[in-house]
Amino acid sequence: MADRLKAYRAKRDLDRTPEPAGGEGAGGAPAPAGGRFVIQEHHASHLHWDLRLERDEALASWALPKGVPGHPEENRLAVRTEDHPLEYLSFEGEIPKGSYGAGTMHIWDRGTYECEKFRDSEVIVTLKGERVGGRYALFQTGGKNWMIHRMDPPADPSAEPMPEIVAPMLAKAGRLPADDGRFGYEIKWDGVRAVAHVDAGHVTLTGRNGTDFTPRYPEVRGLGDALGSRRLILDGEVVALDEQGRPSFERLQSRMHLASASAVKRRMRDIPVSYVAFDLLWLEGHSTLALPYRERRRLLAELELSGPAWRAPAHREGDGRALLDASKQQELEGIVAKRLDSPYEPGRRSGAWIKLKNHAVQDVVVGGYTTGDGGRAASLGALCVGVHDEGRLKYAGKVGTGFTESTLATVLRELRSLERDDSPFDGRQPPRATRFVEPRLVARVEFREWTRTGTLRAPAFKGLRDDVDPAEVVRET
Amino acid sequence: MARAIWSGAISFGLVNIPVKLFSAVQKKTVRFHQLDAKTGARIQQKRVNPQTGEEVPYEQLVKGFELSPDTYVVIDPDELAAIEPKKTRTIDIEDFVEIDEIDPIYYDHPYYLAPGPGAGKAYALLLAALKDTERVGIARVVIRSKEQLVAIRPREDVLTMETLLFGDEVVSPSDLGDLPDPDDAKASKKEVDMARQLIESLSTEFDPSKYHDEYREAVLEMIERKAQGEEISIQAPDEAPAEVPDLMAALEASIASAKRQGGAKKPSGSKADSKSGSDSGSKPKKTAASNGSKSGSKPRKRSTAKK
Repeated sequence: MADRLKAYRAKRDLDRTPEPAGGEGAGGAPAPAGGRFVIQEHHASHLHWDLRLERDEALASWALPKGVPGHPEENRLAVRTEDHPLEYLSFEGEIPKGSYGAGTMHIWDRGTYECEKFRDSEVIVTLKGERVGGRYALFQTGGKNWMIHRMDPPADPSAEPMPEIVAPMLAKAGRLPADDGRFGYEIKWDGVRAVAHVDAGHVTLTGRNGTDFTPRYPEVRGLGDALGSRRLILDGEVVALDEQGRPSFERLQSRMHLASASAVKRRMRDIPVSYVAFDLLWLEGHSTLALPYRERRRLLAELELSGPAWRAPAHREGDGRALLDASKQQELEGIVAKRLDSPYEPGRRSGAWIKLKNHAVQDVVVGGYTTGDGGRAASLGALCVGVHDEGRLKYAGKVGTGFTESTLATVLRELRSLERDDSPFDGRQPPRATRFVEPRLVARVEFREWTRTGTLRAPAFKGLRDDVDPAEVVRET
Repeated sequence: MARAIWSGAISFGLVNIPVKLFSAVQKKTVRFHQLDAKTGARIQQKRVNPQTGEEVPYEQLVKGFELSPDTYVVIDPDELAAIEPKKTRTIDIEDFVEIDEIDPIYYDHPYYLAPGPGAGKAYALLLAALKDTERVGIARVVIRSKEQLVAIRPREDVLTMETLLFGDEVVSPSDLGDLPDPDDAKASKKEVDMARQLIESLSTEFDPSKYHDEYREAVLEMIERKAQGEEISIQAPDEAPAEVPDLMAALEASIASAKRQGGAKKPSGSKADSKSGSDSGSKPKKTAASNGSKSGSKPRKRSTAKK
């Protein structure tokens, strides 16, 4: 007994932690074939779950970084940890900072188990808890680590594995719908679209073109911690809010193009980002795509997402005009109308979602540039941009305003590495002095209107975006 | 008020301006004392002769200059005193130069000079004249028996005195070795342009208040907490940031308030046109959505006074 808890005591200052010291033990006969078990959710430096099985008057313990699998096809890592005293079966509390395993610990599940096999490298048990029930194997793999495997059929027979990628549904540009009452209205978030996979504490952000954004926006990782063992997929937007709490694509620019983790870390302080969730696509083993928008919204609201870097703002049902006016008053980009009874159509630009903009904004492909004069001699004069029409890139005019010193430098740096000899534009061509580039950069521009010849009137540069595939860029209005 | 560390007079030509000297730097390094970990007693240092193991009294100490290992020239304190620079009480300005001519590498330690009794007018005159001519006075002064070369420089409404290193105190870069030969490491124009743009993109105004000694602040905070009996953790403290403001709630609140203020009236419609085409970096933001608080539904109304 004393020997088994030696490692436990050696790691702790028992005067400082509220954890039990491990007393004399019950002294009775050793539990023959099982006993009690507990699973504690432990918000330490990394969220994990601790599985502890009563065994010979102590608790044999494993740390499970992704929790207990509910499906036989999901083997998960388990890390054998030191035996814990029996009193730990009911331990919940705050382990102080600086102590071993610092962070909040609470009981996630408890119950009894039956033991089938208990060897040094393999344990087979049947857990009977409130949340977890079933036959599980814990076994040591080649190295030091263990795995936990569910031997019974899935806990929820209809559960499906979490899809790896869901392409976000896109909105069509349009006007306020006539059947106003059948639509829900949301703010159009002026940021970068991102689907968030939240898998038992682990968050992955995926952009429209499949890029993994997670390292770029580390503050959103806290969302995983906040959701605990839940597994779900959210649709939303990464935004940088200005001093007034409004999303600003221009502010986000300085977070979008950072290459190194240290640069991200420095910028995080000046320009923090937030994840705004507006749809729920998958929840605990079940796709929610086929559910009507209103129902998905209800499930999303139940998650009560609100934290330092995430929120799920409400939608408004009906009276879209009032929201559009209010958004205009706050100088927001616009709103999105979504049919209350519509399912989620991954990857489709669907008429069920209508974007309503307060001012014209358009993504364009950069196909060339002219050099500047005056203050910008030898640098950038204007971008020559285009949009796709039936697969061909059509010239749509020059964008020469809206740059700041720093965006100018970023854009120019990108352009220089993309130069090529011939024009990527089909049909009408930009001015003769244009230097052509590979049509790989997508810029966002604000403009007054389209001219009859298909040129942007008075366009101003808003920023580069790397979450949009250039081939997808078409005229939006 | 700070205490003067020296008083004397600036002198040039026939002019004599009494001044008081203050250090312009407050070194904020956190200092620790050595204690015996077992008993907590302060450690005392004694001067001990290693051969006899006995303590040597202060009066018996002389200075030795090591010529070669174990061979010393012994210097009596009196002998040094005899050749010390004459203790004058003046800062003798010898030349006036342009500030750009002084390479910052020569600056050693900054002091402030405040006017002595009755010297206000002359002091202000010198200050104004230095500003006007954009010059800096180069002077010699003896402080604590050390002769110093100094630069007298106006800074806002005060004269500063920077001690300067002597030319032979500055290490020559040729002692470093390993520096690239500029001819061998010639960059292309494109590379230079790119570097220049990168610099420009990061350019800003120097604001000393932006930078803090974060290590010192953390040390002091730890000391304070420990002094109050709190156990100290080895982990960095978590920040507890505010929640993301609820912009939608703010809009709903503004809709509600617009409706209260007389139904049909629209909140405002003709704002968007003024935006297009302008340089987007410096757009004035006049309206406010919610910020900060959890419920966050307090949009400020557009102020007509602030245009």
